[in-house]
Amino acid sequence: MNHTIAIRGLTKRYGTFEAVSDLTLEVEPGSICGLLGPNGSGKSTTFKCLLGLVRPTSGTIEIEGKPVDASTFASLGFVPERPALFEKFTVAQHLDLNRRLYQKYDAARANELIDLFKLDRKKRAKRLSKGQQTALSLVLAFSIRPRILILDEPASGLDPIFQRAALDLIIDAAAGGATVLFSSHQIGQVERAADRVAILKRGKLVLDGNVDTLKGQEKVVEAIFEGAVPESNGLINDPRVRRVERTGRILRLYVRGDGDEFVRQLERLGPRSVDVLDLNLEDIFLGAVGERDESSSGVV
Amino acid sequence: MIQLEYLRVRWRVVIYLAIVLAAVVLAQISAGHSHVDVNGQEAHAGNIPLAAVIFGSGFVAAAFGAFLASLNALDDTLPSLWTKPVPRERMAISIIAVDLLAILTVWAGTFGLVLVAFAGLGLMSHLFVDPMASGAVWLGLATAFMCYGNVQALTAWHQGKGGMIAGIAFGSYFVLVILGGAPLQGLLHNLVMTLNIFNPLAYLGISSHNDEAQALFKFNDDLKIAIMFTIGIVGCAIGVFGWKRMEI
Repeated sequence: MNHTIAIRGLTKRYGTFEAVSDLTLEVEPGSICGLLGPNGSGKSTTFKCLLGLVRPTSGTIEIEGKPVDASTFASLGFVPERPALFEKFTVAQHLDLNRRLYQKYDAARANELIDLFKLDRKKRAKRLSKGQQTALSLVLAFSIRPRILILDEPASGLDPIFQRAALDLIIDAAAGGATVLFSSHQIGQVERAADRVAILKRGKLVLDGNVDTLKGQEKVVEAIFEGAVPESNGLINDPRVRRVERTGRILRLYVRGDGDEFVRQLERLGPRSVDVLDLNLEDIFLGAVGERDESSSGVV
Repeated sequence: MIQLEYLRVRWRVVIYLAIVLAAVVLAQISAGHSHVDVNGQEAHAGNIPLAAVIFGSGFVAAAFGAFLASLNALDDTLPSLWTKPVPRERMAISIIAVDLLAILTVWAGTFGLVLVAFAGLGLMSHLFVDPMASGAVWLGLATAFMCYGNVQALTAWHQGKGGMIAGIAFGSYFVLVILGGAPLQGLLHNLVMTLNIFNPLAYLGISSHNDEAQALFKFNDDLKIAIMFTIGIVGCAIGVFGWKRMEI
């Protein structure tokens, strides 16, 4: 199968510190892949390697079947984690630079996006707020009608309305055939936009898969009790229970399968209510990076 | 890229020439209260060589070039620059070309302003075109280009330290040329003389009325100019190579 983005065995070391470790990630044409991970998990380093901004220690990277070079960027839109705009340039001059450099620059599309994000064409980049700088970075990336989009925190600093607009742009671009790899700390955004998610922890890929498939693999059985959560050792030891959380009067079981049998077992403990909930991406993320296991005293 | 560097350089040229203009104005004002000496003697018709004015302007341009240099002055914007569909080396060469034009502009602007000052002070009739004038043009340009190339090479693997390195380099030029003339022996002398190969002042001589006699390297002007331009070109090439290999 042809992958638009193919990262194979990528390792990047800074001295003795391994920022990315043997990462293999392939993104199919027209798909949206969300790259998730806690701070320092290697997301930005992965993007930098992907774009040739740093050299991998080992491994290979291909975009549209060939190593990255200047020609790759003719059809690649990039939004960096921190806006890297030319501070003395106005918004209009940024667009003009894009017009000069990109054959596929679409002036009408750029104007449409400038209006969408309500940017002042005459304002210099250094006078723009953080959110406006992110918005301008998005305008520049999308105005070249890219086939590939690499977006590192593309909604950073945007207000909720513009965050939604940015997300719509990503979904729209993928619907039009673009391949998107993006990272975000806002898991809700990734859940809404991505059809595939890859989760990094300390530079290693700990989970990679289709969002719907991952969500369908487990259910959350949530029981709320009037008083303290009773002992439930029989449930905890069941091999189908992947994780158990106790928070105050709430007991949550993360179980493989449909969860009905666990509902019946929990009802015997006399809860006020028992519900079967779909797993959301936040649950998947926290499960993958083990954050709750490490931080919550209520977890068994 | 040319447009980008033009904007970065434009204001620096304007500010630099404004400083030169301010110095010219100051000279006019102070000259109102004193007479003008040339080489310790009162100026009279035909005793100010044009070569000195040309070379002095070149030296101003050299200082400007040193502080303008460093591709890495653009470091905040590198993630944007390096993800454009233009090879890095082509980008770097465009930037250097704009910088060299800016250095030429400063040189010509300084020369023009000094002539204006001379006119204002009534010294135009004292200027004479000496045989060294055309050589001084090339020597001045070579000095400026060598200073620029040195800083490009020294900053090739650093980010955002161009100004500091330019300052240290300029200070080192004076120290090295003085050490070069000092009675040092053995290894230390060899080390100082080797470092002076990369020192533009070592080719010029800075404290004498007769530059040729005091220059550390007493080559003929053509050879000096060729060496200085070569070092400048090599410095720029190292800068471009470093920029191409740099990680951010």
